[in-house]
Formats: sequence, C-alpha cells, structure tokens
Amino acid sequence: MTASIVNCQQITKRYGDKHALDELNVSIPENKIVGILGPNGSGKSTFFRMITGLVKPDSGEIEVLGKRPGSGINREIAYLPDRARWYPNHTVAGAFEWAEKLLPGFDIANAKELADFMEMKRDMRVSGMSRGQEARLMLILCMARNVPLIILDEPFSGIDVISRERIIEGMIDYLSDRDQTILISTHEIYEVEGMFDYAIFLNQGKAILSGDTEELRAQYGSMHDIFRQFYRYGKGGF
Amino acid sequence: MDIRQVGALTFQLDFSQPLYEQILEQIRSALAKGEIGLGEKIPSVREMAHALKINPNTVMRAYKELERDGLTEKRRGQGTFVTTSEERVKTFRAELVKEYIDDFLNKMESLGYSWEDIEGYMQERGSRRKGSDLT
Amino acid sequence: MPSSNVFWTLVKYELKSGYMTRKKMRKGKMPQKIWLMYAVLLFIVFLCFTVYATNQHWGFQLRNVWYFTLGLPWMLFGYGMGAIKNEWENSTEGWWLTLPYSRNTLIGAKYIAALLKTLYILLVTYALAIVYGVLYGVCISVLKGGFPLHEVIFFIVSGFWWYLLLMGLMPLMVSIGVLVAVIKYTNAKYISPLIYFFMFILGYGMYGGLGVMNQKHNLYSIFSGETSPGSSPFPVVFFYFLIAGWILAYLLTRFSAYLLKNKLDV
Repeated sequence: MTASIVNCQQITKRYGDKHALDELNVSIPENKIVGILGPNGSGKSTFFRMITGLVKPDSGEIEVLGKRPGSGINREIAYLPDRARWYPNHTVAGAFEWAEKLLPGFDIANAKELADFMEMKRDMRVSGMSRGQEARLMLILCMARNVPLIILDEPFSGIDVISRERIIEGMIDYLSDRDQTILISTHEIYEVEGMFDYAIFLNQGKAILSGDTEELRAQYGSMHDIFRQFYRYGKGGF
Repeated sequence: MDIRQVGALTFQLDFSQPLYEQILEQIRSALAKGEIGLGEKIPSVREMAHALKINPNTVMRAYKELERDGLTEKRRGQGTFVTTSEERVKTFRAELVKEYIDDFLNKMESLGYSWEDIEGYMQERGSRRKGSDLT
Repeated sequence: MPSSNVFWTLVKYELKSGYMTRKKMRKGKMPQKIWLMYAVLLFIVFLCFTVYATNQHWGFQLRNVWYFTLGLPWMLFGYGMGAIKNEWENSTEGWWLTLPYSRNTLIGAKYIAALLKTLYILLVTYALAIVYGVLYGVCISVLKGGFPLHEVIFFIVSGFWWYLLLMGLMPLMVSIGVLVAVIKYTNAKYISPLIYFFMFILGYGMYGGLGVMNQKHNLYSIFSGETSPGSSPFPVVFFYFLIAGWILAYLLTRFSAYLLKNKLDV
C-alpha cells in the first residue's frame, strides 16, 4: 500500500441548501496520475479548491501532504484553477518570468522545453491568443514546477482537438518519469482515460467508486463505460 | 477499439480490458510470429506511451514482464531489445503451443468429451485437411 | 525566496498590470489613445472657457477652478477597488489566491501598489494644474498685457493645500476601496451597505468639517478667494483625524486580508 498524498474524512461543504461535498471520504495515492471523474456539479472543483485552501469545509477533516491546506502548503502544489485565464497583458516569456519569481519550484528550462514542444512562441501576448493557446500556456506554468502535487481542474474543456492532443502528449512525456502526483478532473473521459493510473468517480459530492484503473477495467470495463453506467441513472444532465 | 502503429508494431487497444495485458499479449504474439526479429530494438517506454497515449507506468509493467520472461533485454543506455537467443524464442513458441493446446483441451473436456473423442475429431479434421490439400 | 523580495515583486507586477481588463476590452471600452485625445481637447476647451470668463468680468478667479476637483477623493477609492476587482474580471483570482504567500502579503502588495498609483495620479494632475495655471496666465497677458503673477501663484498654492489633504486621505480611501471590493467576493457581502453608509458619513464629515472647523479661514474660503492661501487652512485637530484615518486604513487592510483568508466565497 502506497502512502496517500491527500486524505479526506467526512468532508461536507454546503452552498445554501445544496451539498457541493457530502461526507466525502477520499484517499489519493502518491506518485500516480489520478483522474477525478464526474459530471459537472459533482463536486470536483470544490474538492480541488479545498485542497488548495480556497474553500474551507463545513465539517470533516482534510490533510494534504500531511498538513492542513493553506498558503503554506501551496508552495508544494501546482494548481490550474477551473475556468481560469491568464493575465492578458503578459507575453509567454513574461508569464514565465512571473512564475519564476513567484511560484516555488518553477523550472524555467523545463518550461521552455515544454513551450517548444507545444509550439508556443515566447513573444506571443496572452490577449492575442486563442483559448487553446492560453490553455497550453497555463498548463506549462503548472507542469514545469518541481512540486509533489499537481492539480489540473478541467484542463481540456473548451480546447480544440489539436491542442488537446498536444497537451496529452506533453503530459505523458514530461510528467511520467517524475515523482509527482497529478490530479486531473474531467468530464470528457474518452480520449484521456489511458493516462490515468488511478480513478475516483464523484457524484453529488460523494466518491462512488475509486481504484487502480487497470483493476477497474478488469472488473467493470473502461472508465468511459463506468462513467456512462453511473450517470445514466443519476440526476445529472445525461 | 483504436488501432495504433508504433514503429514496426501494431496495437489494438480496448479500454474495457486491462491495457497492460493487451500490450504484453500483442508484443508476445509479434515475437512469436516473427514480426519483430531477434535482437531488434523495440520502442522505448516513453515512445510507446506517447504513441498509444497511455500512462507510461502501464507500458513499463508490460516491459518488465517481457524482460522477466527473458524475451527482451535492456542494454544500458541503448534501450530495450528482443532477445538474441533463438533458443529462447523457440522455447517461448513451445510454451505457446502448450498453452493453446491446454486451452483447447480444457474447453473440450468442459463440454464432456473424452480424450478418445477428441482424438477421433482431430483425425477426421486431419484427413479432411489433407484431402482439401490434394485438390 | 525571501519574503520582502516577493512582496516587492508582487507590488511591481501590480504596478505593471494595465488598466484594461479582458472584460473591459471585450466591452470595447475606449483605447487609451482616444481617451487621451479627448482629455487634451477638454483641457483646451476648459482653458478657453476660463479665459473667456475672466474677460467677461464674471468675477471669475483662477483658484475657483479647484472647486471642480472636490470629487477627487472618490477616485482614490476607485483605485483601491480596481486592484482587487481586476483579478476577478480577468478570471485570474484562482492563481492569485493560491500563491503560496499569506493573505496579508497579497493584500498588502495590492494596497501599496494602489497607493503608489494614486500618488502618481495626484502628482500628474497637480503638475497638469500648474501647466494649466501658467497657460491661463499667458492667455491673459496676451489679451490684457501683463502676466497675472499673483493670481497664478495663489492658484498653485491653494492647490498645494488641497493636494496635501488628498495625500493625507489617500491611505484611508484606498483601504476602503480594497475592502469594498474584497467584501463582494466573500460571505461578508451583507455588510456592504454598512460600509457605504460609513463612507457617506465619513465623506459628509470631511467636506463639512473642512468648512466648520475654522469658519474664517478654510479650504473653501481659499478656493473662493475670500482669504489668502498664505497660511494653512487646516486646524491642528484635523491632523489628528488624518492620523486616526491612517490607523484605520491599516486595520481595514488587515481586515480585508482576514476576510480573504476565512470568508472567501468561491
């Protein structure tokens, strides 16, 4: 049994009378690429915001890297927020400079390598970028960090297929041989499911199934199949 | 089901089955059929993961098993190569033969056929095959 | 990374960040160049108008112009607000709030940067006022012969007192701006009306206090030309108020940081 990097016990978070997280119990193993899967509104983003200390649980306990979430532990987390954008007045090079000065563990050599691979010119300005280009930039800013935990909230949504493929290939190449845990939330599973070592399915604020993806495949079929089976009967928008 | 080409190898991945087993099986069968020759280099874990768009750990697991079976060998700084030992591939083919036969026999026995029945069927099949060869 | 270094890096980036947010660009707000053209045009029209007013013997005095700037404190407030609001309008708040630095550092850097920006604006507008005063004098001397040195100097000195006051108010106004913006994104939204009410009282107190505390010689009597701007129009007690305002500014900024840490509503 490997050590866990994030541990949640009975986490509950309400917005008004809606439960974003409902007595969630989750334990995320270290050094794996983990898919956090579920339809919109299943609690994925709230869960990530809780790991980074943006949201505090109404009740329950959460430990990240053995500590309580907060600005202290965020040194060791690279986080791509949900629906985030980048500062429109920056260029690619300017964003790298920003990251080098403000994000601990940011490796600029690595970032440049990724930028070449993802075909990002250094002098391109964010305000003139397509959504896919901006997404690639933000992803590089996260991936080029030598930190134990990387969290990517819906990194593929609203991105063209070419960018998506580039991103996936980049992740496979650069993130594979490092001791990092990567959490990726998505509701578009089909093209990306091969990347995951481990998967956690969320529905209405609860973890309804989790495990090693190869074992889940042997037992239930593809992540895509599991997803469809679960949410066809759920209340979600399927 | 996706068909993907990695170097000389062709893979068909079905995401509803464990991926590592499929990779293992498909490389083994390529070896047994001679689609990749003795001493040939096979794609690195990274190349394979990249082309198949899957987790490198999964590829690694299959590669480790191939190595453990002696079908491939790692050369320091050069990558992974198919074994140069003809002997090893021969024994592997023999193992496969044994495996297929066992599999066949198990199935027949589970249908309730005795060894004599099976022998009879095999002979009948054999002579029919010879017959068709003559024409 | 030593923390003071990070603090000034944050301040530097804050200063560099433009006025235009993505949202404003989408809405098609005026580009800066066109805006500048209008400003120059307005400046010229205003100059001509005041020169004309003097010529018509309407009893116009150059220092009356300062009356038009009585709204400046509210602009300071806007700068404090913008510093926070821009993160949300650019959808970058997630990056900003998960930077591994304390909320005091993050808010403090925005606050200091907003102060520096307002200071810059005050200096620029004062310099513009001096340019305006001199141009006015030149126009008058062309029309009437003889540069109205006295009037121009009185104008500049009157402005000096007013700008001294603005700089004293600046820390408090910016901190209120920051707080009002922060509150919008926290569970403390319900105290917004309270803050506005507090600001109304504060504004009323300030504008009223300026005239009441010394009825014979104050900022208004200087602006109107009733008294000479040669001596300070502020009674000593006014400086106590200012210092109290600075302490309050500090507390409000700390309070903003506290809200962002514990009451964030995202």
